[in-house]
Amino acid sequence: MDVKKVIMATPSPQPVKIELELEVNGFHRQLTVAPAARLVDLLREDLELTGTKFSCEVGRCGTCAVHMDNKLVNSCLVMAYQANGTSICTIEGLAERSLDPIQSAFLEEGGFQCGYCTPGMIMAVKALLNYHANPTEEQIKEGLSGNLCRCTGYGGIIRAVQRAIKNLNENEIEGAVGWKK
Amino acid sequence: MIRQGTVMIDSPAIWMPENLADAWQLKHRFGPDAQYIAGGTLMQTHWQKGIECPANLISLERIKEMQGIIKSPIHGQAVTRIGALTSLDVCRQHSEIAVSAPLLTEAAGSIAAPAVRNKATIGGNIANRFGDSIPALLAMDASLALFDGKEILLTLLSDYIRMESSIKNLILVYVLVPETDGVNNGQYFYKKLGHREAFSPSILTVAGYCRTSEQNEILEIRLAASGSTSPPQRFIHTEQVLNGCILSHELLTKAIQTIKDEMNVNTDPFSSAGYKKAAAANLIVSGIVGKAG
Amino acid sequence: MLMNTSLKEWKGKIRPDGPGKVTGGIKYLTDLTFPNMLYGKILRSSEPHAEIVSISTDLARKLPGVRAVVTYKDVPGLNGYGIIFPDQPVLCKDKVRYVGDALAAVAADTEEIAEKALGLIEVNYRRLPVIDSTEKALEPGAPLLHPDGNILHRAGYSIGNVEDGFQKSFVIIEETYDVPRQMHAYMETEGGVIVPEPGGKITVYAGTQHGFKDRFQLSRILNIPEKDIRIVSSPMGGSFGGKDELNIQPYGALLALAANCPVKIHQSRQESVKAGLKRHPMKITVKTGADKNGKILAHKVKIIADTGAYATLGPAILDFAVEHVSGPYKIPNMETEGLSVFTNNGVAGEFRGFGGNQITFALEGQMDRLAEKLQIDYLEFRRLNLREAEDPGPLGQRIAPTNGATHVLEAIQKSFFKRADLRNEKGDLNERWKARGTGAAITMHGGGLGAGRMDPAGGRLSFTKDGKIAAAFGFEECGQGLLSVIETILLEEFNCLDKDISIVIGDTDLVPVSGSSTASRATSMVWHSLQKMKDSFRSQMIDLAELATGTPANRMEMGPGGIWLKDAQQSGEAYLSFADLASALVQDRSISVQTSFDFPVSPDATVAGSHFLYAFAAVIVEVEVDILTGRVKVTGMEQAVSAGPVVSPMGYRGQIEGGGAMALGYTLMEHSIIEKGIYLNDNFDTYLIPTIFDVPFEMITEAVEELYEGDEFGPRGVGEIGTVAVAPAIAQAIYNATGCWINKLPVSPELILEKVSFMEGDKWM
Repeated sequence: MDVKKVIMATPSPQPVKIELELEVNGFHRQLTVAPAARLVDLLREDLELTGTKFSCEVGRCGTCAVHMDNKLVNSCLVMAYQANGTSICTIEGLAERSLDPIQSAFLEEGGFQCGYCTPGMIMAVKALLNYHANPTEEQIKEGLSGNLCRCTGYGGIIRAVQRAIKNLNENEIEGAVGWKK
Repeated sequence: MIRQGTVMIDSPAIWMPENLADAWQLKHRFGPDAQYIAGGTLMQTHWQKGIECPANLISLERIKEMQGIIKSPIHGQAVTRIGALTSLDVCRQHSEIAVSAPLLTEAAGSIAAPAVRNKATIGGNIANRFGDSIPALLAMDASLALFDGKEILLTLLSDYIRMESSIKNLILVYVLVPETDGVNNGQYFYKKLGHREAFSPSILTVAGYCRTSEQNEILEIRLAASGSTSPPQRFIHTEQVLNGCILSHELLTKAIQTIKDEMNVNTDPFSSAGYKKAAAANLIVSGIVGKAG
Repeated sequence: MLMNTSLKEWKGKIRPDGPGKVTGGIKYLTDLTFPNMLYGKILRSSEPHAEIVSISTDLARKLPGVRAVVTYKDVPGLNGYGIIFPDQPVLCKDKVRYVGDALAAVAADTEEIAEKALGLIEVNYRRLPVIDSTEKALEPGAPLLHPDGNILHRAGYSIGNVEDGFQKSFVIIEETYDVPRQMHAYMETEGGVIVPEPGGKITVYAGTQHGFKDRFQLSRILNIPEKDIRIVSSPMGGSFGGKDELNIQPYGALLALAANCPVKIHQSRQESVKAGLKRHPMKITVKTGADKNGKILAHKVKIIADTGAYATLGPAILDFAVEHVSGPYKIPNMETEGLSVFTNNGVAGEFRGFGGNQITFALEGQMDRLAEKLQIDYLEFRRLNLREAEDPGPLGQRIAPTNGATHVLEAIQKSFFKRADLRNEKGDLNERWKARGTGAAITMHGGGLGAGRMDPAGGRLSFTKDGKIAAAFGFEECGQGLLSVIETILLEEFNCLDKDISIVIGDTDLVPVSGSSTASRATSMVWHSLQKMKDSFRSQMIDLAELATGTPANRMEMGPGGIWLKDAQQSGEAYLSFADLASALVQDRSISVQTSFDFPVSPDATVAGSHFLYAFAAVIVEVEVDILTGRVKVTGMEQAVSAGPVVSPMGYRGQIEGGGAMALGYTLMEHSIIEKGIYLNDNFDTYLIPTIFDVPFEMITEAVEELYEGDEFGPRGVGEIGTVAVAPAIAQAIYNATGCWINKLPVSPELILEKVSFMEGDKWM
């Protein structure tokens, strides 16, 4: 992918367009879009990935959170040119053959009610646990501080995170035992 | 720029210069029709609120001089040079910054939330002139490197915040944080007061540095504050009052008053100026006293 | 059947809508798209109060890509809506009364074009004085916002003689409590798609808490028979009362019919703030007297509610507040007067708690102040005045006997002492710049719409050709876990598996009338419906099995996967699978049981809206006050709830914790500020709701499931109760920490800082 390509256009009455290349949930995608188009719109409209939601559209709720090159970002605050050449992971890309252990934990512990913040919340938990396998209380709060939930009061979410940590660690131990054999 | 979809009749053109001179020329060419952009997290918020997006955005993200974190001596003093494009998240997590600019680590962690910090840059936080990193950097006596079209100028941040907006056109290239003297009793503090515990606009943010002798005489002191509706400031007068004095209850009670007198804040719909002054004075003085106090 | 039991427990944990929600696969109604779909936008007033001189849409219509523009001229039926009475114009003709008033709507090929078109609509206003407070609205000679004046509704209740009571009182407390305008802040803003169907019909895919009510209102506006309107109203990304009233539906429908294309409208947060409902701000003046022994003798209350520009459910909310002025306490002399007043301050309407939260803050505030004056422990003072099981309700009406008040108070009393011990054990809690305190409050909260109001309920059970037990209810899933409730009760009653059942809700073409998904009534009404239907359904199923197999009905019962022989339950397999049973549904034979009834009401209620079934809650919190800044942080919260048996433990806990956090926001930070009729905080960057940092990391919920002997009313809903008593508990904790009484919400750190003088007896160093 040519990330170095300079995106330049002369202002004209014609809508400005760029050829965008990026990877979304493991698939290579090419799109012709306005350079300042929002990533959230690319995902929801052009790619029909409506799992990513939006609510405030100013980066203050986390509902639209996705991973860009493995980092949590608000897709309402990423413009197309900024996403060029990146790898995006959305909630739809999390479950492979089976649910991600974080998704299972949200189901088991009631980490959601209306579910509208859930995709962004789960992506935030994923980013948190990628970085800290055993986060402290402070790190959990820190990692999820940008994701608002109006339904749960965060209790179920906190329990889901704790269960996900437990599940992931158990998997790891099982894996380690398997390896020793 | 509300919900324009991906078609966007009115998308701005994006320019991606590779060096400072090219960026400067583009801005010169388009004048008010262009704006520099780095992470863009704040600018996009402004567009959402109805502030017009210019026809041209000059992205600074490819400019090498604006990237990276390096330690290097300048005029014989050890300094940490932080490229303006460094994300706030990197500021918060970087081990070098944690050692040499600890207040910046703390300040970066108090700004917005992880997803925003992954995109927002330290340069943007300073250049928007209300950022919460500014008081921290003031307390650390940081300087800025600014490109004026020909060369890079070094300016103390405490001077920069007093300059008029003509400076807006200069490109902030990097931030220089001088290393603190390891063998002293210096103490830093940083405190952000918001309307909730995290992810809040700042009612006020205070930071300071205070070094005392074993007899509790103040040898060096820097005090600063800002807020999302209050411009950043150094408390020069209060610093003068305190410098050279022995710390005491009476001195600090006096400091409370001078901070209130010196603080330049407004009442906004959410907090009164009087409250901001009182809280800032308490936070600063408690910071001077420190945890041991 | 051990395995079966554990399976049920598992089922209790996973919500039917869960997998779609954690994978992003579920489609909310705002996620839908249809072929040829257009995007709609609504032009809202720029003025809080003005006459409309002219509206010109010519330029907008000429903009390429614009497919329809509608104004008041294009409303075929009644140009008005409102659940109680339709005083809010769909599209304003001659006057605007708040900044959310709609003037025109546009459908275009893209949202961007629709937005541009709104900018091309010229509206000339003649400004009128803005009535920005209830005081102004009540001034003699104030401009009238509606033909009948500026008072939407009056309500009152009196018993005994208050003046007499005050004369006999040893202590009297008189205070005014001031509570703010709270925003629901559901994460999914209002929206959906309205699709024109052949034959002049339409389908409305948009969230609401009462699909049939929307259908009724839309029929009146569009002049289309109700049967030609289909409302699909689930799932929703939160509502909390905020989507009960119509929002974007009429505009989407008018545009869809005008353009003959599906039209999607999804409001931005700013649009939602401007147009949407809020919790009623109230000023509540209370005078309460008690004797030396701590018996309350008199309670005089005046409530003034700012209901904003239009009625919606304003009258009922005032009635509810008036009913709950005395909460769970016995007070011999009372006089309550309530006024709901029109202003140009947005529109206040239904919000979780429904007036109970406001009045409970005032009532419990009085209790705390009286206890303090009388030097009686504040929980003991409550116990002294608490209602007993068979006492009449707060309006003198007969209610279902309940010990709920005593149960929750006792639960919290135990916890209180536990906590107090804990505090003593920990020596380091007293950090230098922190003050800590605990506080508690209790409440009693009515369920259902109340006496004298249409409050129908019902449901349907049928057995489908593909062998499913199908339950249909006219309720909506707004996140509260209703699907889980229905599933749990079905599994419980019929001892079947989740794969044996199918559930339909929130689609007026497919479900029977069940009433609204409001007033903590849905869980309760699902349970009642199934109690009424289960025996008939079960016996029809067994009869069918007898017909299919020839085995006598009395030897068979329903079980996992099908019909089981009673005496062979260890065989591990159903005698007749539901699929095989369904093949016996030949010709005209079908199994379908439907019920319709009304929410239980008091047999002798004289005041409209008074309730029969009540739930109770007690809250205890611990706060930490920063004495340098006056900021308050809630570090612990525990709620004890008495609402009958728990149907779905995870859902129950979620409602109480979530309600607690929402009320914490109400107490400490949330305030939708309107100045001169204009909202100042129009998005989540300035309207702040609690983050994960703002709530206690662990919250405790205790369910007191025991009902009074002979109570046959089953589980009560808990959708609202968790929000009601939190604010006064926090206020009491702040007082205990700092000595500063809180009369106004959200709690002002400024006020605390002014009152807390930590320098007394303390020094900086």
